[in-house]
Amino acid sequence: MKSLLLFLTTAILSATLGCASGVKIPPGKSAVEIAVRAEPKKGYHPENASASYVGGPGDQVSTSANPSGQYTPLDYAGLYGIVIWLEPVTGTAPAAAPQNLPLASPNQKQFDESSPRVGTIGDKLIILNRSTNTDTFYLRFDDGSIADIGTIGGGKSGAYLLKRPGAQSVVSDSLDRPIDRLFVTPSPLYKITHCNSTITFNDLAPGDYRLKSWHYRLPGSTANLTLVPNKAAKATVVIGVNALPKVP
Amino acid sequence: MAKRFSPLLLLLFATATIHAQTTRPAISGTVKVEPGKPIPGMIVYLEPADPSVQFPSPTEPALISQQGAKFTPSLLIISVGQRVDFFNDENRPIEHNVFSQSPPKQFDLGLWRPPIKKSVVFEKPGLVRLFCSIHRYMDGVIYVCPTPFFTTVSPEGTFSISGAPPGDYILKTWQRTPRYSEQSQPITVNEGKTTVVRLQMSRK
Repeated sequence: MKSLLLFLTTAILSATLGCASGVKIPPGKSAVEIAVRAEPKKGYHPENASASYVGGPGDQVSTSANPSGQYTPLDYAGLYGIVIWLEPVTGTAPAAAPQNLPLASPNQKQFDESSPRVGTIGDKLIILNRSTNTDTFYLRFDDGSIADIGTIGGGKSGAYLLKRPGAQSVVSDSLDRPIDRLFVTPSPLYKITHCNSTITFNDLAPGDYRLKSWHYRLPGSTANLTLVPNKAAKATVVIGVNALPKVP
Repeated sequence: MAKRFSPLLLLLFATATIHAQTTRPAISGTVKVEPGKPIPGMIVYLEPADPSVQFPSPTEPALISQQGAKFTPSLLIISVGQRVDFFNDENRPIEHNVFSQSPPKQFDLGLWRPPIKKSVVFEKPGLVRLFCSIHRYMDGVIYVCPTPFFTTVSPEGTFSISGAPPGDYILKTWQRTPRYSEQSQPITVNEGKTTVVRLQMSRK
């Protein structure tokens, strides 16, 4: 009876603590609320600089990859395609059910580098070779290395298990341009978001975590978190260059 | 007396230098890929087999223009220890920034307007991706070779490297947009001889 009372008290307390920040936490688990914001370069004054300049005579001709002209400013208020993930410092994150990432080659639309497909190690890339010819596919990693995916017959599909984290392009022998861009997280505890958002992980095992982020262009801050049972921690991720070492 | 012989000494020195340059060992090579495929844009470079061996860096800085919100050249190959000047040569008062978060060199050069240059010395070899934190489409690449002994491979798949002192090296490849696994091959450079190298690029 005493233990039942203790259990009920703990459960009620846990629920209360969980709700205090608006985060529902399963009993015995932990949570973290992460505010994501982007910070332009300190000292940058868009009204005095080129932010309003979107190209003019003599500028490089706009391409599909560069739709608004060379001088298009980076929109910090509208930054998207930000990937946030948690890496357990000890042990491993619970294995999630592998997801399928389907794509077709040739891709009918130009991929958006700022918004790649996101998956995690163990997810499956499913490639449909839409052409009538056999093609050989591979991954090109941002560090310059490559990994062979294999050969897929015309009109057929092939699967590839994602093994390496990081930004990577799906490329084929027959196409000059990459078919698609991927970002693979090392941990299944990830979310994709945009700046000025708050994301929540609410079913975490208590313990120490490393909070990391990725954006295709800008660096993001990292943080160490210690998560305790039945409580929601708070953290902030800042995307921008201000934390990089300065060169005098 | 010294003044009298100076021109002669200079001439002898110049002759010796030219002789050294022309008789220095060279590497000549070919790159092969799968039949019917083009040679990818690539460079080959030498790395000393003994990592403690270092070569003097070029004293002449490399230059990257920022005009038109573009890094020009968009790909620059330099030697480790070499300085790169980033020149804001816009003809309007447009601010630029240069930063990189690549492992060989993480830096933020701040903001500056024309006509000013800002410089960075690249002390570690490897791939450095450049971005501007203001302009969305402004990006470039610097590849920092571990020695000054590098060259580009011709579209026909030939290359040659001169100026490397005799010794043991590892010849390596780097492709800007890789289609094949990078190659790495030990070679020996001998005085007065041309070392011939054949590289076969493959995916595995």
